[in-house]
This record gives sequence, structure tokens and C-alpha cells, in this order.
Amino acid sequence: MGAEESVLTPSTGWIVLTIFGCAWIGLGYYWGRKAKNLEGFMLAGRDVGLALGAATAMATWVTSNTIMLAPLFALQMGVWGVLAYSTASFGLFFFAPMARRIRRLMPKGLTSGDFIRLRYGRAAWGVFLAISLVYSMAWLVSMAMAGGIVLMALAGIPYVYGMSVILLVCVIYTLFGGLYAVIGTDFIQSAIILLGVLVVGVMVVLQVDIATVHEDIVTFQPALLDVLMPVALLALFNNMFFGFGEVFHNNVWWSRAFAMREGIGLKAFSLAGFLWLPIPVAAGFIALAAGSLGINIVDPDMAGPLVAGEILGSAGAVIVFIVVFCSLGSSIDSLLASTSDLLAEDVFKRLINPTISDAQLRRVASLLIVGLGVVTWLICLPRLGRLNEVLFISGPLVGSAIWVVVFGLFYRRVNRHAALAAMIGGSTLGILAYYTIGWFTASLVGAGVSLVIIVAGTLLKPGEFDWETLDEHSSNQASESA
Amino acid sequence: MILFSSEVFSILIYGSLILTGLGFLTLLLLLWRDARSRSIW
Repeated sequence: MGAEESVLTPSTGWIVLTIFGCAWIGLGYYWGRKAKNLEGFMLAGRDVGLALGAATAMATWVTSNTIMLAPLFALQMGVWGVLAYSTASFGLFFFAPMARRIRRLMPKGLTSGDFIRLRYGRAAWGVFLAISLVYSMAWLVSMAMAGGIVLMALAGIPYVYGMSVILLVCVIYTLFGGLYAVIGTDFIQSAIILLGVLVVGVMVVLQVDIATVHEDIVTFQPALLDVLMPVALLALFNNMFFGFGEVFHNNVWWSRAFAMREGIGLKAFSLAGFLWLPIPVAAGFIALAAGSLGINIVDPDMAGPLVAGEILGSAGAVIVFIVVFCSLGSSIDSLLASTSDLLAEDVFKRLINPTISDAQLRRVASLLIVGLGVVTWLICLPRLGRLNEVLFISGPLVGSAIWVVVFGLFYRRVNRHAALAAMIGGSTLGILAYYTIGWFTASLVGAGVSLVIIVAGTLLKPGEFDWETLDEHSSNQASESA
Repeated sequence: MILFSSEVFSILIYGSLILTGLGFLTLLLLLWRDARSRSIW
């Protein structure tokens, strides 16, 4: 799609990109001055309050897919499609009690890798790191690619320029401010996303009667309202378990659990779930209303901006452009920060240089942010469509880690062999299901198989884990003073 | 084929928009509260 077919002119797109890009970098630099040590840089001083905590969890989970793909789900699978998409919010709801537990068990923890290493030993830690890094890179690459594609579709900005600018802006402000910059910008981005979706949704409701939209769908596409649509119901459960796997294992969420002040995690993640839940439904409705508004949707990916452009003029398209830019920025910055933390702490410190000082580790984390940005840029450059598939294939991988994390946090009897076998068995059979049955079963199979293995392994040989082992920092201090 | 009724459809749409609006206001109120008690970070 070229500039002549896009909703906005390239010059408008560049103006918006420049304004918001400079704002994020400026704010990142401003907040980054608070990051005086490693904990400040990696975990925002472990002192994040409820407003910023909830906003960062919500904004990170709103990706460009939420805005652009939810309409596609609506147009392909109807009501169940958007409900299936919104079940991804359950990941945030269920992570809420886990965040509280994580903060209590590991008051000085740094990464999700720390937990797996201390809870299950090095073999399971290795497999977990592989799963986590594959997923994080796939998410990062898919977001950067989506950025280039969406900016081209919306404003005719060439793919390479759009993708490069988004990555560059996120790398710069994450580098300046670490998690302070990420969480601070996430708050503004979450407010913009909510307001943008609300404005476009309300304008659509004011322009067209919902009963008419329903009537039109009954007449022309009744399957979209089918209460019993088998594929959509399977997609619902698959999406839910994919969401559980993504949230429960990934350091993006663990770093926020560590960063929030004591007593905040449970409330912040619960609220984030409520903030996220309605967005796919609202975005999906905007697409379903297109027919009643007389808008011909040729490319379902572009339903949101087309409808917004039709009812609000170019202002509507600018709103969608800004919302998409915020959704991309809030996810890419979080991935850069938390994945570089995981590589610095779990790979560099634990495997390469265990005696590294905190100041040196902070420099390593900074270099890794730049390195991740460069690697992502190089992978995205040729715009290989099949790269997106890697993210979907990672569904069964992260699905296989769900019970390993949940049981590991709450049940002392789960043993390390069961956890290792659950991740390997769940991943293998889940990928097999992806290719032999279909994408909509892969995460379900990954999660189901790993559940059976971990329960069986625990019943066969119950362990007896000492929770205090997880507070590694305090244990080290105690042993040093003794 | 059993279809979602117009009422259920309306509840979903209006519900999602109301929740989105409430979410936006909640975030602003929480920020104001945290700022007053100097507990943003």
C-alpha cells in the first residue's frame, strides 16, 4: 500500500511521529535522572505506586494488535471473536495474586529467571530461559514489524523508515531512563489509548444505532452472532491460555511485580485487567459497525482507521495513528527493558561474570538495550512475513510454563524434575498440535500436557521446597555476616 | 442457529465503552491521589 492509498498524508504522519517521539525521549531523559543505581534503572527503585503500576501493566498489554487485530477477529469470528480476544485480560487478573506472592517471596529479586533458577535448579532454568528469550524476541520483532507496516498503511511512511523510527525512539528513552522512563511514558500512553478508543467508539455509537448494526449483521452475516461457533469457542480458550502463558512467565510482568511497592501488585494488576478488558470489544465493535455506516472494508486489518477516518475525518485517522503509536511504544520499551534485564542478570551475570559489580551490570544492561534494538532492526529489515508465525508458535512454549510458574509459587511439593519434564513435554506436543491440528489448539495442548506431567511428577515424588531459598539476596547477606 | 440478541449485543458495546471511560477516569483519580500523598514512585 502506498502513500496515495493511506488514510493520512505522510507529512501528517511524520509530524505526529516527531512530536510524540521527541516527547517520549524528553520525558525518558527527565525521569531517567532518578535512576541512580542498578535497582533504579532495572526496577524503578522498587517504589512504583498504584496509578503508574496499573497503567504500565495495562499499556504494555495493549499492543498494536489489540487495536488492529481485534477488528479482524470481529469480522472473522463475530461476537465470540472479540470476546476471545478480550480473554487475554484474564492473564493480568490471574497474575495479580502472583505479583503479591512474588514481591513477598523475593523482596530483592530481579528477574523471572532468578525465580526458576532458585526454585527448580539450573536445568529447568536453561529451558525456561530459552522459552522466554524466544518468546520475547518474537514479540519484539513482531511489534517492530507491525509498527513499520501500520505506519505505512496509515500514513504512507515507508516501512523501513517507520519501523526504524519507532525502534530508535524506544531504544533512546529506555536507554536514558530504564524502567523509570518505561513506566512514566506508559502512564501517558495508557491514558491516550483509553481516551482514543473511547472517543472513536462514542462517535460511532452517535452515528449509528446499535440495534441497526445488529439487524444488519443478522441479515448479511448471521454467523458472526452465532452463540455456538465452535472455532471461535476453541479460539477463546486457546487465547486465554496463550495469554496466561505470556503473562505468567515473562520478565516484562515479573519486573513490574518486583518494581511495585509492597501491597500494590495485587491491586495494580487487577485494575490493569479491568482497564484492558473492554478495549478489544470496543475496537471490534467499530469494525462490526462498518457495514451499517456504508463503509466497504476490503482489508480487515484497516477497519479501525477506515471507520474512524470516515466518521471523524482526518482527525479520526490521526487519533487512531496516535493510539497505535502509543500501543507500540508501550510494548516495545517494556520488552527492551525487561529482556535486557533478563540477559544481563541471568545470562551475563550468572553464566559469564558472577563477580560483576552493580554499576558494571547497569552498563551491561544499557549495552544490551542497544544490542537488542540493533538485532531487532536487522531481523525486521527484510520484512519477512513468516516471522510473525514465530510469535504464534511460541504459544505452546509459553503455555507449557504456566503451571511451572503457578505451582512453583504456591506449592512447595512440586519438584524440579517434574517442572523440567512439563516444559519440555508441553512445548513438544503443543508445537506438534500447532502443525497437525491448528493454531487454535496449540497453547491449550501445551498447557494441558504440562499440567498432566507436573501433577503426575509431583504425586510420584513430592518435594519439600524451602521458600526462604527464594530470598537469595537476604540469604547471601546472612551468610556473609555469619 | 442461535444468535446473540440485540440486547446482549447492546450491553456488550455500551458496557465496553462505559468501562473504557471509567478506566480513564480511574487512572487520573489514582494519579491525583498518589500525587497528593507523594507516592507516585
